[in-house]
Amino acid sequence: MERFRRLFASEKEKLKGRPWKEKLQYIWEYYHLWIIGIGFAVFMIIYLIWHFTTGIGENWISVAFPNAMTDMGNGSPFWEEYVEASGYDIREKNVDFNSSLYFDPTTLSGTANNYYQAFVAMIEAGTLDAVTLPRPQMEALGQSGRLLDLSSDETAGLFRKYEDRLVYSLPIDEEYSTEPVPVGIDVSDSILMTQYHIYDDSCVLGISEYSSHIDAVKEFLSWILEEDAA
Amino acid sequence: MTDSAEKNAVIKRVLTHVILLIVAFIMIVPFAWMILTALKTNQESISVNPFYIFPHNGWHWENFKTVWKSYNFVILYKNTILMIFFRVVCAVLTATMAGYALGRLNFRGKKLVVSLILIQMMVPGQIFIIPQYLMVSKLNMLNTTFGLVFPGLVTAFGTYLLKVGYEGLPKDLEEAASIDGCNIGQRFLRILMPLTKSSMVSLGIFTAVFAFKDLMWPMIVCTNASTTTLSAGLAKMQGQYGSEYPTMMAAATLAVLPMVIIYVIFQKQFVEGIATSGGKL
Repeated sequence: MERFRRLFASEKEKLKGRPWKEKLQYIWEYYHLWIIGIGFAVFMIIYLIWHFTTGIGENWISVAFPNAMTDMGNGSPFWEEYVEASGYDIREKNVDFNSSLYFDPTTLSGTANNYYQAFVAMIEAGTLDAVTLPRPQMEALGQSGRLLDLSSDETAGLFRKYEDRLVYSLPIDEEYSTEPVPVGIDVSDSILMTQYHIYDDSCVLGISEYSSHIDAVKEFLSWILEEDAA
Repeated sequence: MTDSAEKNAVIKRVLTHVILLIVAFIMIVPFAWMILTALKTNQESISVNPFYIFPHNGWHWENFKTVWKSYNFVILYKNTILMIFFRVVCAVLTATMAGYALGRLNFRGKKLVVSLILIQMMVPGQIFIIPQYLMVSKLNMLNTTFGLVFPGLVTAFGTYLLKVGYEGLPKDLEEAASIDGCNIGQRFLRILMPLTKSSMVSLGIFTAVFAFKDLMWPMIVCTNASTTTLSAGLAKMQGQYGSEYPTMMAAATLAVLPMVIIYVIFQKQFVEGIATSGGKL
């Protein structure tokens, strides 16, 4: 600290009596790297603090619509309609809909792409709550064990309520189960199909194994099936 | 030189040129196909006739207009350029400092740190995606420029490249600078760092190209159209314009423009960079 004080005093002495322009030229000439470095560090600190305190990291719900034929992502008419109907305050948390994923879990080559890796990253990180796919693809995805077993305690209500809509899948991992497990709910008659024509012939909704917003998924399910209206 | 030797030299030169022309043709065809398809009608673009190379029903420049209108390319360009700029600055800055420390200084645990860097380079990058994504998410940085830059803040490859660069410099230079009264910071900033310029340029080029090509990370962290990059935006178009090749190719042509411009400006450095690092872009 003493060293810096002495350096500061000697530099101050050198600049004494010089015009402003010369002073600035001298400082820039000898200390431009310091100025850039400190400026960058200060900017980064302010930027990080500002985003950390004001940014929205949490989601009310996050749903992926892989292979969708219609734009269902954030800002789409579907997203806007749901945000309005759900009453979620998006200034507080996000409603994250993603329809920019394209993969086919029914074949090995269909999952060898960046889209599938991105999807797996989101599901494994626990930030994705639900996913929709056509029936054969959902059955194939269910084999990976990344979808919640709907007969589990936390979804017992769903299991009973949608018993006639359940889609089963036999997991590859025999330790997980040797019997087919319910991994999805058929929503082919929902607004996803009737109003938005998301897929050609069938649509199934599955819940992520690591979802922490199961109640929000239940509400979403109710909404797309227009149960309140009925 | 005898006649036969002269003849052999000519044949050799002609053969070399023929091979180079074939390779150049193979490289250029996809680009030419992309640009020509962007100017065709959809029907022309899916024609199976291999000789149907040029548009027969006029040049459809409106495909570019359609794409420009449908997707906000100004925002895509801005996000991509910002991501590339910050990734290059951060990667070069951190790799230069770490490279100097590992290449020239002696401290306890140095070998361990180098080993950790090598291990990081050996494992597939996908392993780090989930922890990095969780970190960005917990920092409330999803859908931000910082979120895009985050995995490029530090680079194991760059650190190693610069470490090797610093190790290759003669010790006498540093010793002479020490005798002249330079402290460690001055030796680093004024003597050695300028001598590793070619390695720094190589790293900058590699980082820029990889950042431009990066698809998975922007797809994960930027789900909003206003924060995404060209690569992720283009991937989205693939779904939306799945059967409209001219529109897709127009978008692809617009997307490669920044890289082409960067290449034209820094052509010399690109070639030097590849020669220095022996890498493939």
